Amino acid sequence: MAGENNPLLLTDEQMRRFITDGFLVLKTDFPKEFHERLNEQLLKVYEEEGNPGNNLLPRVTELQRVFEHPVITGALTSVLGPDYMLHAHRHGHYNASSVPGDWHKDSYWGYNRMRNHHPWWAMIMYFPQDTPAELGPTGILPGTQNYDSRVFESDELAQEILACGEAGTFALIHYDIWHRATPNTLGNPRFMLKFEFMRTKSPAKPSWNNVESAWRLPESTSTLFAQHDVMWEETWNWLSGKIGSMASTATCSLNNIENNLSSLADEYEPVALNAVYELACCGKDGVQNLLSALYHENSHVSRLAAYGLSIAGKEAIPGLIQALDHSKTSTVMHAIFALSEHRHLAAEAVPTLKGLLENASVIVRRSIAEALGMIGSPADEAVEGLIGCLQDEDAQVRFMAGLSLSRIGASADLAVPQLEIALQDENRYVRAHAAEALRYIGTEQANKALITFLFNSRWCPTTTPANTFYP
Amino acid sequence: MENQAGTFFGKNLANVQLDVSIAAYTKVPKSWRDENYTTDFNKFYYIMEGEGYVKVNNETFYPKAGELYLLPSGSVQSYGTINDNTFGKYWCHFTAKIGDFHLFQLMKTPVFIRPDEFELEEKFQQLITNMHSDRLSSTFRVHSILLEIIAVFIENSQTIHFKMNASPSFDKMDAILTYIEEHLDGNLSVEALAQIANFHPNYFISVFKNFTCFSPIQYINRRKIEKAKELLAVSEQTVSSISDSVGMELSYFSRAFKELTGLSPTSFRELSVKSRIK
Repeated sequence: MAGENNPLLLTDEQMRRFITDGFLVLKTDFPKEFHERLNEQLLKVYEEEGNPGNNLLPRVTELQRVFEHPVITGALTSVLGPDYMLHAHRHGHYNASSVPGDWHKDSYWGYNRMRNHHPWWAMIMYFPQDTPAELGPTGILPGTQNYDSRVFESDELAQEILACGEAGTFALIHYDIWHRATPNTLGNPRFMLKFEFMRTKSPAKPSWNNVESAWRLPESTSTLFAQHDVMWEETWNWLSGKIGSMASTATCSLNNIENNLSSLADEYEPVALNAVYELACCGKDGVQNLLSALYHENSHVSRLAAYGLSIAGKEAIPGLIQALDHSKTSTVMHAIFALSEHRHLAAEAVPTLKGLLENASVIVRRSIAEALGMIGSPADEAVEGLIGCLQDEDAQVRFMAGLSLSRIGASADLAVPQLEIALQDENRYVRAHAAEALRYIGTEQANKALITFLFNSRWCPTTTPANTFYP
Repeated sequence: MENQAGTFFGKNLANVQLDVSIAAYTKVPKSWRDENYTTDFNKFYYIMEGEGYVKVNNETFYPKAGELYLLPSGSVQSYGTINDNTFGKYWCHFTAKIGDFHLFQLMKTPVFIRPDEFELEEKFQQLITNMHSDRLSSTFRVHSILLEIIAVFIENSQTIHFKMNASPSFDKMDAILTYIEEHLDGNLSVEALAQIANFHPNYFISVFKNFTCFSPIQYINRRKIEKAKELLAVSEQTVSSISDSVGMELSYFSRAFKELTGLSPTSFRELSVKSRIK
């Protein structure tokens, strides 16, 4: 959860840039000595003990202050809402590779999870030392966050933006943006501290320093591969608390709809993406066509249709519930995704989703575990389903169930006993999410279970093999 | 009015698509007030009497009778009354788009003008009458009257600025249209143009269509035929040499010319010579 200090929220213009470009490069204002101390501590730990992995934060306590800095909390609050959660996976990259890394999107514990276009996840890449271009900062391709495919051929692109700057510079990125490590030609190792964050509440109102309510294009953007007017406007509205805001906003001729339909299978993803978003604005006709496309034999087309359906509003719900019964797994997953983005509007899907948990394949169960938390109502029924998910044989289903229960919050009190059991799970991420869920549920019973667990696992940052107990 | 419009405007301004949602005359009530809202449509206020204020993007105006206000879509607006003597005004809400763009977001006009146009009141009255009429011709009337009001506004504007950075694709497309103008004699391929814009060809085609309402090939052919028409009318060049100078093979040129103009190149030349003598 956000620190206690006053977050320095993003401005409208910064939010517009985040929506179009998929990232912002910002800077904290710690004094030079702070970063010197932080680097010293990091170096000592990495050299004497090796990479602390997920224990980076308790091991290097100075780092906690970074995540309490108003620029960081403000940026995260703006993009993910005030109740954001720090992911249990943390990683400090420490390297001096002189060859660039490959362009990639980060995985979500594998690549099967359908990526949200709406900012449910974000990442911060923090550079604790002065990081000029020669020291191999992260390279980012602006505007590529919602491209599933690699839309470019060459590795060297004029569009690439380097997250370089003085110590304290960080890139706040949409989780799914294409990025890479650039070559470190100086040869001195550099740190890049990578932390992931998740939204736990869907937006009810703007969480940034919002003045203008309507979307407009930013004054300027980075060089982008394509312009996505509907997608951008819809994302802005979504962040302002609206669901299905673009539904039936366009009057579409048959000709218009046909043009968009023929673009659905375009080999160049940005064109197909614009087509599905435009269809989602075309009222009933657009929705019907997107629903048919959900069953398309080409699963890319089906996936894209799901993005259109995910913003189409009420009109799409009955058709999406029908699709849950389909025999093709990818179609079912896409329908679950589109339903989940409708939140409480998709409440009538909860019984079917719960029923599906019985026999569905593992990747469908993972999607359901996430969707139940996003739909969240009727809460009792969703929580019942999630209690089942906590006992699933698949670790990712259990992990997602923890996140979903965090999102439901206090209404998930019934899940506390099962979460207490999950605190002993064999998987570290399941344990971490069980603890988070207890924190977000926050009832007396949940707090008690959580405090007991935390005391039992309390970590002492000065205890090392070289310094076991004294002073 | 200075003209600093780029190629895009030169060729497309008249392609503006209009939609009028409402037009009326209202003597506003004392409670007439709203603050810091943004709309997706433009508004005209033609003030007939009374007092009050309107605010557009942090600038406040106290309109006087006889002034015509244009409140563009996308701007942050407020309005209200200041005493019992409230505004009586003609007003209308409308959208004006060129391709994907809102005309008055690309073209920055003053917020108001003082037209020396005596017929403006009549125009608004006709607009209202036609809005409420179900005659087949009314839609055409509505469009033509609105176009006239816009023309009056533009003619009475001291300065008009074209805001080119309203869209990231804009500069690129304008450069592409200029490039096409300069290379009408050559072989213009979609791939080559897409490369200049640094866009994937498929995406390039969709953006181009949104801009011009034509596919790149259609647009290029139209421009080529336009250029040929000029040459046929004013030069002594043979039809075959004109087809060369627009980079088209003669038989293809003749066919395309006829398709677009309804005339063969020779007949077009004959007609234009005749009409000049007149």
